[in-house]
Amino acid sequence: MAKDLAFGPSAEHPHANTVQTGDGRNVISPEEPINERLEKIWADPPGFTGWFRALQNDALGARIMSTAFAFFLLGGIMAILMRTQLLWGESEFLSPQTFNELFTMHGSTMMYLFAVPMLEGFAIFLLPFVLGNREMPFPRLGQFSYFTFVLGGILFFSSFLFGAVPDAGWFAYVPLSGPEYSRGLPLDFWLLGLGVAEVAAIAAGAEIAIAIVRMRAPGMTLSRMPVIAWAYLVTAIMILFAFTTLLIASLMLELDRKIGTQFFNPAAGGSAILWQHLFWIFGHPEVYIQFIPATGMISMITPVFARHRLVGYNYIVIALIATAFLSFALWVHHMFTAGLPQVAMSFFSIASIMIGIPAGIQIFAWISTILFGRPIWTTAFHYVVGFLVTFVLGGISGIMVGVVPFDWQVHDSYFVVAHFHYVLIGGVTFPIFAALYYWFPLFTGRRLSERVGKWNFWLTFTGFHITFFPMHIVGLLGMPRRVYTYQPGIGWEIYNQISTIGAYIIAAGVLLFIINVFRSLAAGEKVDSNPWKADSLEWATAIPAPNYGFAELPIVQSRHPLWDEQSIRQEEELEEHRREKNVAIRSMLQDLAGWPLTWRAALTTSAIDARPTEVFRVSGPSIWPVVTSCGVILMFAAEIFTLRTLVLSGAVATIVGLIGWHWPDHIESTEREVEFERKHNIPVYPNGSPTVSRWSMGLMILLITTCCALFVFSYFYITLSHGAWPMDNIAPPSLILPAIGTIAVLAAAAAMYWANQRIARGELAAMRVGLALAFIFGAIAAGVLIYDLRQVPFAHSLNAYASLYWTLTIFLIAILVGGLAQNLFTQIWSWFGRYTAREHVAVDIGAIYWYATIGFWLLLAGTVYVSPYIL
Amino acid sequence: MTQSNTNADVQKKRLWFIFLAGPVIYAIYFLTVYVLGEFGCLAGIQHFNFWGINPIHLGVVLLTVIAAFATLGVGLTAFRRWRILHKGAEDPDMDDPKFMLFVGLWLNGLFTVVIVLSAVPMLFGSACDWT
Repeated sequence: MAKDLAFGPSAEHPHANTVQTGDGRNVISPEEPINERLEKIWADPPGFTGWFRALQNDALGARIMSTAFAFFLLGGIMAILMRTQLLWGESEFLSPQTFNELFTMHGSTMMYLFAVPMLEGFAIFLLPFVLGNREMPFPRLGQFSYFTFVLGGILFFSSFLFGAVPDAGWFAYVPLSGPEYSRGLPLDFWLLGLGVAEVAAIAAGAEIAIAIVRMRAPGMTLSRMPVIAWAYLVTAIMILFAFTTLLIASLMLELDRKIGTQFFNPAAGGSAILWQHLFWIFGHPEVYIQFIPATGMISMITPVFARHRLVGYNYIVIALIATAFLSFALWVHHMFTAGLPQVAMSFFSIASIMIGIPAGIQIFAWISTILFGRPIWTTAFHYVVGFLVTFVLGGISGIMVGVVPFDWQVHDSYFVVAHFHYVLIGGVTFPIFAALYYWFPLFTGRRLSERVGKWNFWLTFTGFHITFFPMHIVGLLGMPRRVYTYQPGIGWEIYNQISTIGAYIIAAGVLLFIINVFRSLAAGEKVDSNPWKADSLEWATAIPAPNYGFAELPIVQSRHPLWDEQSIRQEEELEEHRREKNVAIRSMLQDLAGWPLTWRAALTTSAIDARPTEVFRVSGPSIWPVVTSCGVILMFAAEIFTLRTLVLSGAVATIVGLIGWHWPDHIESTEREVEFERKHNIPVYPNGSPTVSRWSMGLMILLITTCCALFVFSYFYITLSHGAWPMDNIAPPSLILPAIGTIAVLAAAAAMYWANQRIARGELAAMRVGLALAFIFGAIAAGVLIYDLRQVPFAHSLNAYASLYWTLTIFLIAILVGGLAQNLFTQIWSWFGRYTAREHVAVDIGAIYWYATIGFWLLLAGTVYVSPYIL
Repeated sequence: MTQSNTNADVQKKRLWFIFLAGPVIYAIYFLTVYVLGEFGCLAGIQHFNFWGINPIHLGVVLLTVIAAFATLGVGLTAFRRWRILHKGAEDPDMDDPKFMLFVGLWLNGLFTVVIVLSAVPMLFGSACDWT
């Protein structure tokens, strides 16, 4: 053995963390040399290009939050302008067109560019610390997510420069947003500019889910997971379903606008109501995607300042899961006046009311925690209480509008505006402010001023209620939404004037917050550790948090690691078998802290009981995700102006970026790593984690399944809305070609299975044969579909059936091409000798992809080719 | 893989099933009833009658009964298993199974109620009256 194979605690590999108990005792001594070594490995690259290449979770999280807050300010300015217009009846401060643009941009900015990115930014920053690990599983995906978000937002706002500001509301209902009534670029900016931001959100969601399920500290079992982790886990899964829906709906609308498909054109067999269904299948879960992480924050902050453990942890977990599922069953309550069958409406009305149960469970849990505790009234706690008061009021009005006859009276009135601002500002923005005050020391090493913070809170809270409470009344008096003015003397003026004054008070409050931030960054009170005497793991690191998070990962033994003696008590107090287990894990973690010296190591653990399962290398800094992001933006931006050559250039840049990003940076295992594996019985993967890769493929398959399901839903929705099918006497398609394609897809999947089995036995040559066969069969399947499209006797723009036929077929081709591309690169890398019996994750996930493709093929090809014979 | 590893895997899969059965059954129930209701009305199947009963109503009732019994059954299973662990000796290794069983039984119970209540409006009106 080489002489440097000295594992275990020693003078060379001392502990490095400072961990404090709730009463402030230091347990482990600080500032040992290991920190310097880890700092070098995990350091952000220097210089101008280094800023772009950096991808550490704290840097990315801080950037996302800062950018999202900037968009919040822009959205707020638009709100102030609208309120100024509504100060007097028949005011001419803004034109009707400008007002339409402002409410569209305000809503879109707040919903797409502020709330979700802000919460995702918190997740990316906090989760590794909260979970007791060093990094997110896909740092480059987080980097891609950030640049896609910020460039997408800039693209969206560049609509002002082109005089093409979207003006059809944040929901863009057809036919107003369609090609007939919204000619020109504005709605293309809306669809494509925000489409990029949606891609960013989905990318971040996938990463968050995997981090929480498989990258928790040893001992952080499901029952010990912090509530914020539960909240982000359910949210991440919801994002995958909900944002994918919007992406598909946006794609369909953009196809209608740009190339003449007829999905939403009733005159050609399409359905305008279909857009509403698709939008609100996204739109309603979207508000819970914002609300649920906010509740996670409240559940973390409340116990700290109430000085009492969270009451009802189990019930809160139940409530979070129930809310996530129920939120997908509510969407039609946005369409109660759209003319739907009674059965559908009553169904959704019940679900809309039932979702109050899990919300109520959480509220009572927080109130109980506060009542049983001894509250400390920091600014963060003020915002917690402000959230409780405001959200409950918003929830009550939400139950009211869930009742169909009541909704018929207040739909599209200011009552609804009041309701959703109560739940979104009360339920999301107040928790965000609480979180910013609470975690600011972790981000920066300084506290925000409590004195200025209290002024900030009271101005914001008071201003909010002055602004939005009168809207309930004026809505009941009949004032519709989205009107740029109203008649003087109709009785609405006083309420609008009160609301406008309130809006200015909110603005003053937000301005104070900005001043507080800059002052505190410059000269705020410095803190060095756990200023709030909190219970959760993020406060166990040095402050501000180091890049690498934890030098020695903690072993978690309770829900409140920093409050419970169990988490740091002497191990001889434990039962013998647990003591032995902990000693073994601690030995591994100590060795991990002292090694490796050349790459960024993180740990995966099992999903339920958080046993260590792998050590793997997380990605280091790279420029390729930025290149990929720029390619995506170029594609979307060029498509707005229908510059197809540039679109193609963007596609090429995207592909080049993806190749560079995923180009294998192969590292051979060293003797030291082999010895580590032998000693601790935990595999070391210097070339990426098979577990993380399989989970990411699983989520990718979930995403594609959602896309397929939405296309199929749209297909049958339009089918059943129509009499004869296919429309316009089009003959049903031949079944010969799809039959050939089906056999080819099955053969491709079988070949991939065989290739995977071969490489698992180390048979490299056989694996290459299998990959090649899979490629050939997959290409046949794709070729069959392309040939079919070339000879169909109708264009995509003929009617809705034709549009669906072409789109579903092309989507299926895209799925096959994706699999073929992955297969091709796997083959190329196999010729570089990348794959062994032990490391062949690309082949493994490629096989999983092709198994899933069988399902995609049967679903989509069955819909397109077989259903015309049945319907 | 040893026998004890296999048993442990089976136990974990059962725990996940109990944990998620309630919401997943509800999701399938909801989608099926929604498709039956909206798509069925679009297709005009309300014009057919089975023993004087509207097929949409009949379908919803049947689906509700099946789904409610399924969630109730899983919830009762969860309750029985949880009670065995709860009454047994304190064992920290059983904390997570107990937690998952506890959450599972309440989720199944909640969704049983939601499923039943969702079908109640069916009793009071015509399925396909268009508003």
